[in-house]
Amino acid sequence: MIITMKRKELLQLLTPSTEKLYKLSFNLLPDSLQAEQLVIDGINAFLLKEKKAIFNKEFSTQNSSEVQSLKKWVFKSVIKHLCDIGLKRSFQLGPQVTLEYGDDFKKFFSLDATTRLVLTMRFNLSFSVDEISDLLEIPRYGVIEKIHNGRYILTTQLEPENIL
Amino acid sequence: MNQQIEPQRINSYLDGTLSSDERSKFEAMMRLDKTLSLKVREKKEEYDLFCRLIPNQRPTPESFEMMQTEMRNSVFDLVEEKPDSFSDLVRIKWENLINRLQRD
Repeated sequence: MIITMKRKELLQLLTPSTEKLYKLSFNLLPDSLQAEQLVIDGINAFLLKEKKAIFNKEFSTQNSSEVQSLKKWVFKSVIKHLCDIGLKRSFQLGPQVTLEYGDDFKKFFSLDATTRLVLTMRFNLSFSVDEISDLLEIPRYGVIEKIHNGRYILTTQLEPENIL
Repeated sequence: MNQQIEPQRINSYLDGTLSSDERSKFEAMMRLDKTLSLKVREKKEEYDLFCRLIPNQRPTPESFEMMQTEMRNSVFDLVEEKPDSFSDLVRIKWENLINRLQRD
């Protein structure tokens, strides 16, 4: 049966992404309250800006590939808004956000916000380089550079400021 | 054959930064060359360790529930559905009522 997206279906598509959205938010703002707020703000921005597109979506409930692609569209759209807000907030808050988990992951959190996002999207959420480039609106080579530099910094003993 | 492959290339393969064409070629070479395939497998183990350096923080159950509730409220507050029929109108009103009751 082909149906138009309603609030109920939208909730069903959004709900499974909560944990992944939180993980991404936390790696941007390492404070549980800030991360929760960022998830909600990303979803609100998606709902406000994509309202028309959401309710114009028609899909067949029996066709699992259609449902999957819709789910992916919702997930990626929320991430796009979440990253946009999160990067601005990360610059604004900067050192005000203190690590909740002591020195764990200190090196990761000393990386710049965009590199942290790129590494999380690539290695925790399994996005491709092209998808990351599209979502963060940075060129493909920029994404590759951030992956290489981020990996190098995390796997060497040097502090980021000492690496050329 | 693996002598032609620089270690950097293996990193790029595991980083997922090769183009689809380059990736296919690399995988074809791996199928033909067992030494290369072994090298990639060894490097993959290093990668698994590297991935542990990236936080994978899960929300607490309370935090998860809070986000679910907020998400539901946002969908009901920010998105207004247009009814297609009278029965659809009843459904929307009913959903709004249930959501309001759950909130209270």
